[in-house]
Amino acid sequence: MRNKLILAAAAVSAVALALAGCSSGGGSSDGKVTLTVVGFEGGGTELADIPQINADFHKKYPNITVDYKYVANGEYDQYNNTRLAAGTAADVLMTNATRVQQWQKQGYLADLSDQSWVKQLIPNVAPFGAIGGKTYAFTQQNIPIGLYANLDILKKAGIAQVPQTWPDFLDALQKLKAAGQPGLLLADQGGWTSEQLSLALAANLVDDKWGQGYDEGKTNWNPSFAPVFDHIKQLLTSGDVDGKLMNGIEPFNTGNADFAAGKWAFTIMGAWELQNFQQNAKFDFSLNPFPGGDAGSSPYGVTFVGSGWGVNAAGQHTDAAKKYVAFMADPANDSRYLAAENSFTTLKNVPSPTMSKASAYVDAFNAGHSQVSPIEYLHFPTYEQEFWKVGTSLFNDPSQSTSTLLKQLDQTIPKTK
Amino acid sequence: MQIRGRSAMVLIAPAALIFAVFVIYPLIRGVQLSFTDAIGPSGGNFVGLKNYLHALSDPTVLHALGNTIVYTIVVVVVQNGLALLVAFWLFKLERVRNFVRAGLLLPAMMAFVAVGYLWSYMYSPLGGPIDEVMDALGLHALEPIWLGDPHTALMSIAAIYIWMFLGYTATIYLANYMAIDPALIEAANLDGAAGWRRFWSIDWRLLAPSFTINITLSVIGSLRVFDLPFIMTQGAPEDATQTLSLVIYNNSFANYQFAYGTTLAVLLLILTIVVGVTQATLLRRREADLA
Repeated sequence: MRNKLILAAAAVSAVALALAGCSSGGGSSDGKVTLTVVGFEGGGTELADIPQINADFHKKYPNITVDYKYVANGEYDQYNNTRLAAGTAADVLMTNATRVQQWQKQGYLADLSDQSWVKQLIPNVAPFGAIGGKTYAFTQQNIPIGLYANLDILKKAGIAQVPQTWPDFLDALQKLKAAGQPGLLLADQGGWTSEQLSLALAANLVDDKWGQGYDEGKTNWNPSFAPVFDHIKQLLTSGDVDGKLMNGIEPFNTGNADFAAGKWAFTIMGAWELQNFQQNAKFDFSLNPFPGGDAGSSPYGVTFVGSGWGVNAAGQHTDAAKKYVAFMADPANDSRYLAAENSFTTLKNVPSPTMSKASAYVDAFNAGHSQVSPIEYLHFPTYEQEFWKVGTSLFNDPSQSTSTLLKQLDQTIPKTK
Repeated sequence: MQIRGRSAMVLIAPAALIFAVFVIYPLIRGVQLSFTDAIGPSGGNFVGLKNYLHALSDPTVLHALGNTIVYTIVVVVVQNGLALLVAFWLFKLERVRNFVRAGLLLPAMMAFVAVGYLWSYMYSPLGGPIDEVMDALGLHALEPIWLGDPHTALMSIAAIYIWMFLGYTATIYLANYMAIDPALIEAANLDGAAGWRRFWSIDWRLLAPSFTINITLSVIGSLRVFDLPFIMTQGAPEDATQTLSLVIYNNSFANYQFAYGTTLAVLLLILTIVVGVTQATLLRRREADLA
C-alpha cells in the first residue's frame, strides 16, 4: 500500500513538473515568443479592427505570436487585478486613465517614456497616460460625445439647422413641442446621461483648466458648475424634458433603440453609436458639439479619453510588448483603429478619421473647439458613481438648491493625488 | 459499516484540503487584508481597525445596509408567502402540477444579465409592457417611473428577484407537501378541516422543514443581493438601489480600495452568519416544537 502511495505521489510530482515546464514564459530556444495581450476591446461587439492589426503585427514580427484575450469591461478589473498581484498578468494590458493611475501606483506598469510615440501625443491627452512626468501608457482613444440630431424631425418642425447656441436650442425644443414633434431624449437610468449632459454643457460654460486644477485644490464643483446645473434646471422646469421619466429609461439599449427608431429629435450619446445609427436609422441625422453657449458663441464639444495600452512591468516579454504598443501607435495602424472606433486622434502625426455624419464635430475639434471631459482629470476613482447620485437627484427634483448639490459633489469626490 | 481512524482521515483529506485552500485560506487572507490600506489584492500597510471604524460611519455603507435590510425583509416575506400559495394550489391540482412545475423553475434558470435587460424593457416608461397594460386598464395616473423614482426603484428590483425565485421556492414547498402522508390530509378533511383552517392547523406545521430551508436560502441570498442593481441601476437613482454587495464591488474593483472593500465583505459575512445561524436555530427549534 505504502509503495502505491509513493508511486502515486511521484507521478503527480512528475506531471506537475512537466506542466510547469510547459508554461515557463511562452518563449523558446529558437527565439519565438508568444506575447499575451488583454483588452476590453477587440472582441464581443467592439472589434476595433484589433484582430486584423494583431495579424499584421505577426506578419511584421514573425517570431512574435500574439495571444489576444478579450475580457468585457465589466469583468476587466476582476480579471486583471488578481493576475497582476500574482505576477501572471498579460504582457500588454489595455488601459484607461483610471487603470493607469491605479496600476502604476502598485508598480505594475513599465515606464514607456523613451518610446518614440510619446513625443507625438497631443498635449491635452498626454496626461492621461502619464504620472510624475513619466509615460506609462499610449492613450489611443479620444471619442466625441455630443448631440445627435434627427434632421428629418427638425425639418418637420421648421428648424433649418442644428442649434448652435443654448438660446437656439431652447427655441428649437419649443418649436418641436409646438409642432407636435418629439424633443430631447436624455435616457438617464443609472445616471450616465446626466453626467454627459453636464460635461457637454461644461465644455461651453466652465473654464477648460477646471479639471486639471481640481485635485490641486484650485477648483471646486461649487460654484464653478453652477451655470451647468442652472442650464439643466431650465430644461427640466420648462417642460422640455421630464427628468423623472428620463431617470427610468435605460440609455444604451432602450434609449439608443428609440432614437434609432426615429422617435426623438435629439439625444446625447458617444460617437461609438455612429455605426449603429447609420445601419439602423431610416432618417438623416448628425452628431454635433453641444450647443451650450450664449447667443453668438460657437458650440464646444467634449471628448472622452478612453482606452490605451500599457506594458506589464513584471511581464516576461517586455521588449516584444513595447514593440506591440509602438505598432499600435504607428500612424497606419492607429488610423485603422480610430476609424473603426469613430475616435479623434491622440497623436500629432495621425489625422482624425473622416466621419461624414459628424462633420460639424470634426470641424469643431480641428478648430480647437472641444475639450477633454473635465471630470476625467480627477483621480478619485469612483467620481462617476458619485456624480450619478447627484445627477439622478437633480433630474428627480430640479427644485433643489444648485449649491447644495454641488457642495455634495465637493464632499463626496475628495481631492486625490 | 463504520469507517474509523486513519481510513476516515484519508477519505476526508481531499475535501478538507480543497475546503482549506479555496475557503479557509482566502478567508484568512481577506481578514488580514481588511486590517491594511492595500489598494490591490495584496500588499498595503497595517492600519489596525481604521477600515472598520470608517465603515461604521460611512453614509454610503449605512444607506446600503438600510436598503439591504428592507430588501431582504420584503423579498423573504413576499417570496415565501406567494410560494406557499402556489405550492398549496399545485398540491390540489394534480393534473397540471408537473407541467406547471417545470415552467415555474424557468426564471431561476435565466442569466441575471438577460433578466436585467428583459426587465429594463418591461419597466421602461417608453412603451414598456407593464405601463402599456396599466394604460389599457385606465391606470395611467398610477404609473410610477419604476426604476427612475427613488421611492419605487428598490422594490421594482425586489419584484424581479421574487419573480425569478418564486417557482424555486414553491417547488421546495411542493416537495414537502407531496411527502405529507395522504392519510393525514384525508383525516383532516373528514374532520371538517378545510381551506385556511386546514392550512394553519395541519399543512403549516408539517411544512416546517421546507419553511426552514426556504427562509434560510432566501435570507442569505437577499443579504448578498448584487447582480440586478449592478446591471440595471448601478445603485441609482440617487442611492436608492445601493446594496452592501454593490458597495463592496465598487470599493474593490472600481475604487481600487481593496482593503476597505474586503472590510465591508467581512462585515457582510459576519452579518450573514449571525442572521443565518440565529434564524436557522430558531426555525429548527420551531420544527422540534411542532413535531
